[in-house]
Amino acid sequence: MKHKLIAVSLFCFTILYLIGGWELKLGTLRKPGPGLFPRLVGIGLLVSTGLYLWQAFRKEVESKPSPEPAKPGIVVSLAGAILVYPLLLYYLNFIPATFAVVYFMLIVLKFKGPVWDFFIALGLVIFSFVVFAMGLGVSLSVGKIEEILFQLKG
Amino acid sequence: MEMWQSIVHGFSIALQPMNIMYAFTGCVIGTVTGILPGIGPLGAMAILLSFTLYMDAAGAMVFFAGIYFGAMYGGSTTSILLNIPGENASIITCIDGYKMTQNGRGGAALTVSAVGSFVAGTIGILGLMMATSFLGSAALKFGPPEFVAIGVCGLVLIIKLNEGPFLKSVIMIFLGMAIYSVGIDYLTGTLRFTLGNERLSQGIDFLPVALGLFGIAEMLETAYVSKQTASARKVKFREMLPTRNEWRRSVPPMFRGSAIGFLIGLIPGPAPMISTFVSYITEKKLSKHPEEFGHGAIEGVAGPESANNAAVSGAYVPLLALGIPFTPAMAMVLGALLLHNITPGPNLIQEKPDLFWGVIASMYIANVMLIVLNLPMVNLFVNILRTPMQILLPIIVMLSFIGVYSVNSSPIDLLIMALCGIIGFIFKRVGLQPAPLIIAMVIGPMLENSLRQSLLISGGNLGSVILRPISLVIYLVTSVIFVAPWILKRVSNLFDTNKDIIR
Repeated sequence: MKHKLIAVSLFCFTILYLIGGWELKLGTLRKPGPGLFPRLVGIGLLVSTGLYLWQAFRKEVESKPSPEPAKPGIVVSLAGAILVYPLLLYYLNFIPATFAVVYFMLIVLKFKGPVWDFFIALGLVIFSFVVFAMGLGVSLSVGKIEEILFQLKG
Repeated sequence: MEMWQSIVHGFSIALQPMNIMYAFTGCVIGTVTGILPGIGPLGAMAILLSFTLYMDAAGAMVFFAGIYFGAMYGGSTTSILLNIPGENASIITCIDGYKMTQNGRGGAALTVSAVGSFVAGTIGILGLMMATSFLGSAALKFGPPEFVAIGVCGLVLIIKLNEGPFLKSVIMIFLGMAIYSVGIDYLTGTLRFTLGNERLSQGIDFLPVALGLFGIAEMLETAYVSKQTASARKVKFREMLPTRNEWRRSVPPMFRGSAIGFLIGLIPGPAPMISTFVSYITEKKLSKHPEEFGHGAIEGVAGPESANNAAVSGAYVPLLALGIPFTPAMAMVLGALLLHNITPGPNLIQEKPDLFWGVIASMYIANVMLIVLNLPMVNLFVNILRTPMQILLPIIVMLSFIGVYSVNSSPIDLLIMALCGIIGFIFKRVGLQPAPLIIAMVIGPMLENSLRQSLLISGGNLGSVILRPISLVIYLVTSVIFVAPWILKRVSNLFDTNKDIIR
């Protein structure tokens, strides 16, 4: 089932890519335009994803069982946290946003329990901010909390 | 003679305190990532790619060389002591290395592996020096059509040698090209696939895609299969000394493995891993005691461990001489160079001799460092395996966030990284490997620009683009590599059928 879903998604992407590339000027062989390369790539994608789609629907692909117990719930939670992070960073800045994600991950991964995880996450985030932003001068998103740390440094 | 003067100059650069520190840090990080299953050198390089912005170009190269070589050393440690390959290039070492540990000779296997890696590193670096100088001078004769040929053939060979099925590799190559094509077309200034987004007009950066596909996807994979931590018995220093017979049996495989590894390293694809398999098969065929293989034959450790280290040096040749990365790890190295506005290629030796020779000398220093670090500290490194994944995964994610955000201060880059991570994880579950995609994304610009320049120069004559002497040789060699296994299989089937008829 997952092979069919991936094959359909890839094929849909290919169609969208081809439509997007069709508007670009193809030019001639003598004077190739910006659309030549995308058109070649699009045709290659169409053939390969088309074949993959045909294979996926024609024969049932055996999926090997994982040798270790799989945890899809954990992966969905972690993926969700990573996806939400850019939005959190935009509104909350580095320390609160990163703390929220790291704390959530520690809870999902069942590390030491909510209280310990809280302090571990907080420590990790502040330590990384001190090392990277204050120590190495890495550019990170700065808000009120981060400014307090900069002021403490002097 | 000039080469030796250059390498002496390279050592004077490599021995600068900052470069020694970068080499040391790279070696330690590489060894740790080689030991920890699930976080390979690629993941580490992707996570740390943006931090190389804070180093000079030579420092960044030294740092990445340390990581890459260190991972090869680290991977062998867990393969030998715990039967856990830290990364792909150490899988074959598990067979005889772990058997030696079970027979009480694990310490000797570690020493042979470390010495073999050192010998291979030395031979590989000598080969790299000579091959790059030679190829670099030859490549000065290359024009756009030749670069089209190299790009096309590189991609074709990656499809051929990739671990995944043929069709899936082809899809990943085209996907990589499609990702590259987003953004402004530098020859005409036309915007392509930007969806009206200003940030996308600058194109999709290599870093968030690489970090997503190799860092975040690996992290999700590790969480999905919930890998367990492990611990090993301590190895005493006395146990680490091989017997005279073990030394005697190990030396020839070390040299053979080095030669095999270096040559395979020049070919596109997962060279370190392939070289270990080829070396193992060679040693088994040449051995007077093939029956010992699989039961703790020291040749089965010495050969492959030398081969994977030499392959690392070999993989640097196409990158430094032609500017083309044939492996994902070299794509990361290229990414680091591009962050410093340096485009490697045939002129690199002339234009940036300090960088080129400094990097080569640093590789040697990294090899010395690794042998000094790894043997006495083997027990300490093995203890790293006890680090719980529950703490390691959030740290990896946090470093990835910092790394990606620090380059452009763009939340869009973070979103691209997250999406690539999730897509990479899903792709892996259905056998779509990310390596061809990332290499295609890097080779894409060179391929498109060279193709369009070739067509412009030749007045649209495709024949003169393909039929140039050097291009033709490159296409022919690639065709032979591509078709030869199929022909050999057919011929061997024919012989088998004839044998049956004779019987």
